[in-house]
Amino acid sequence: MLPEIEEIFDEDDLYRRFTDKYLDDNGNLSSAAFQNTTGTDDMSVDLARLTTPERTALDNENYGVAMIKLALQEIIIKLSSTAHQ
Amino acid sequence: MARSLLRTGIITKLSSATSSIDRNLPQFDWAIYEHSVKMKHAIQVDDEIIDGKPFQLKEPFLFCKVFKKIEQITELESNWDSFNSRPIKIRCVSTMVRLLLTMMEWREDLSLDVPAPFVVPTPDGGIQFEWRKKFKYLEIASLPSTSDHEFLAKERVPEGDIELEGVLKSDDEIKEILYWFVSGSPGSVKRHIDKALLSEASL
Repeated sequence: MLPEIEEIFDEDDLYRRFTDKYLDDNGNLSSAAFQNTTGTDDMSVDLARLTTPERTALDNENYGVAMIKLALQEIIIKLSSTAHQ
Repeated sequence: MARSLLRTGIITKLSSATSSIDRNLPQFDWAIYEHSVKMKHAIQVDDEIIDGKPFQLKEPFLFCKVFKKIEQITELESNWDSFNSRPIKIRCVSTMVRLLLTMMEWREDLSLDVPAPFVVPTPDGGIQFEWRKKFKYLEIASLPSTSDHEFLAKERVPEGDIELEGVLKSDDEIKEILYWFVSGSPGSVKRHIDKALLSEASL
């Protein structure tokens, strides 16, 4: 069975997971965080309205999430961390 | 009980617009320029307070840190980025270690004041050096697909952003692009573009 095709709209946001190896000490994100998946011409992203940043980051504190705002052509960086109560 | 927190950084403005469903996402850096992506909680690792003043690490020590980072990168196993990435190729490691040593020599012998780069692995098994300063951005990479160094140079000038990418085939070419980054006048990357176009036309 073919997966359902989800339409992406201009107002949609996308999440891109990145490893913390791509963040320098000043919080700059390496361009390598946006390279295509090895062996493909695609860059893997999640559609924001179908998931959460935490799920995109695999609930792993070693990953951050870049939110790509298509309409505004902006990127917002989110870092996940874990706090213990 | 563990809970997840999210910290939000400053927004990066991008340039062109896209508008189709079958949109093509940029394959390479989303116009990430000097300090364009700043975290509210920037990671402060090595600054120490000595006699009440921040102690700034000296460049040779920062170069040593880069060697250490490369050593760590060589230990990465397959899928280290969760997107099917590959282990780093030994040839790329050798190439970039050699470049690092050469840059240290240039600092000594030629007073080419190149700062220690930020080093990252690339998903295909290469290594990339990156430098940022006010209006300039430079990256030089050794990738498994080629024995040359690939580079990307960007400069923000009043008229807009200038971008040059290509291949560096010799130490002299690497030196030239590093001179541009360290001390090139505003807009001088455009002269490199003109030179590259002339060189292409003559082939």
